[in-house]
Amino acid sequence: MQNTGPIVRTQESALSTNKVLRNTYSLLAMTLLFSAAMAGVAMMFDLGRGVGMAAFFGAIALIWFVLPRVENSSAGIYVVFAFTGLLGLAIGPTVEYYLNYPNGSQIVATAMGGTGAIFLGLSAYVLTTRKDFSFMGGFLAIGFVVVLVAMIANLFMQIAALQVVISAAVIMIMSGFILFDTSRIINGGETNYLRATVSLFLNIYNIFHNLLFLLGMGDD
Amino acid sequence: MDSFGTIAPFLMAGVLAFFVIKILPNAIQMIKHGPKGSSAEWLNGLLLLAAVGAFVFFLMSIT
Repeated sequence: MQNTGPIVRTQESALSTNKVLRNTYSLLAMTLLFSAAMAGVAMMFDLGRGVGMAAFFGAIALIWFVLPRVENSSAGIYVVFAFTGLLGLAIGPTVEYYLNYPNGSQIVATAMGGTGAIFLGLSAYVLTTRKDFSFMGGFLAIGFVVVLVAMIANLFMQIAALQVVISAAVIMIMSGFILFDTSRIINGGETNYLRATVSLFLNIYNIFHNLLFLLGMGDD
Repeated sequence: MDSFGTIAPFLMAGVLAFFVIKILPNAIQMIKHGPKGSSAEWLNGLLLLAAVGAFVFFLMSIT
């Protein structure tokens, strides 16, 4: 009798990885559309920055306190949609602010296209080469902590040049996290598609938000 | 400045500080015990990030 155990296990592992990847990209596409729709709602009803900030805090509360409790159940999907919807509401006033610039629609369209190109390019690279970028995790996390500290300082110092550096750094770090998160999915390091979706969504959201700032600062 | 404008930076600073407190222990753990990349792997990763930087610079120049 032939020993096919390792082959069967390898096939099962590959199938499982493909399933996580497929579910992640499906949910990511749906949540991005939902988030864009909620940003549209925020603009349509002219929600102010106070509502935007409240929505942001609500989204943070969901991801830190609620998602970890429901990430292995079907209720987790509703939490992910609520989280991405709130972030859509939160970014709506910012997008509306840039749309009021003389070339605002061009800035927003370029930020959207640029974000899409960065995400698709980096994802395609990892999916094609199947390289493991898990070694970048610590470096990226420490880099993100440094950026967070700089953001706290700049909330009070209001230095425009520092904000440019912070935005550029966030785009680079989130790009690194796209490599890290995608390689974790395809190498079996991430088996929960809800967590994977939230991670990739946050990467895209942060790149778009900061790209919008960098592209709009010339007219500000 | 209105009252919201006064309180907003403090609220945001509190949330960001909470992020730092939550992320920092994991970040240190990942640095100490996470997988280590070879210099070729690091070069590959950093080249990709440099390409992203160049692309962003290009977008800024055409907008």
